Amino acid sequence: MSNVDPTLLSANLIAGERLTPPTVKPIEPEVRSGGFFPFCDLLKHGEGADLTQLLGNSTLLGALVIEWGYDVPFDKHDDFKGWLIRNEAEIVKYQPKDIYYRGTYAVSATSEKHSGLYRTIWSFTTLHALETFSDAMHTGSDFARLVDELCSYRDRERGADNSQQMYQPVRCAHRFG
Amino acid sequence: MFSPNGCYSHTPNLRVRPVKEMKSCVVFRPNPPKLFMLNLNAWLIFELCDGSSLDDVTQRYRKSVAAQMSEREADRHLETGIRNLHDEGLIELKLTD
Repeated sequence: MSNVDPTLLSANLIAGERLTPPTVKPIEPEVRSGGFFPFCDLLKHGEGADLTQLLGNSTLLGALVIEWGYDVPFDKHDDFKGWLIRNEAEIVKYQPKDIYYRGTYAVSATSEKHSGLYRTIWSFTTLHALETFSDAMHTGSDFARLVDELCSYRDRERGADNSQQMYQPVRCAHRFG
Repeated sequence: MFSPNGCYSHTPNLRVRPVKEMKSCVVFRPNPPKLFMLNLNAWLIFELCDGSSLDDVTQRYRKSVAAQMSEREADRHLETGIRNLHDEGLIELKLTD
């Protein structure tokens, strides 16, 4: 944090403002590590003979599932919806090996505040597929273009709601926290 | 604490970061360490506590907010602001004879 001299800055900002009583509020840092389960490669270390079948029929979505939570500005919803209708099948068509686009969803109800009203879900059959995803985004491929276009609808304004969750099947999760 | 016989100044070694977009100011107090968010009104009062006497701070505060409130209301806000800033260790009062 730099030590900016704020002299007169506040006085200049006051013009036209409706001043509320002065408040001095502590800011409580919130640390979100979420590292309760180390990543596990399901196909390497998961137990049970039916893993391939469970992955094949999407009972298990993958070794790793990533959920993007975000907002889309209200006036962009219809454009976003139209883009998904035209392009979701294209994303699936161009998705790299072991990476699966699992759809984009509107949040009808949630107990999580500020996590965004939209979710896009990806699944990865192997942990290595995470690296594949990253590589694919640097190639100028159709997949990269489509992911960029999808993300272009996200609300990037300061304070816009967003979240990210990462899941893995409990059947190969070792809990240490 | 709200004394006419003293000068109000920032506690030493604070780190101050105005957030113009939010019309507020973040202040880090190192001892004991804690971050604070000052709203615009508290930020103005904080700025005015530059080693000046209470009378000087009062006059300048009244002038700054004259378009928004009466002198009586300004004095109430100023007292609240100085008390809050002092309670959180962001300003200190140096008594004079």
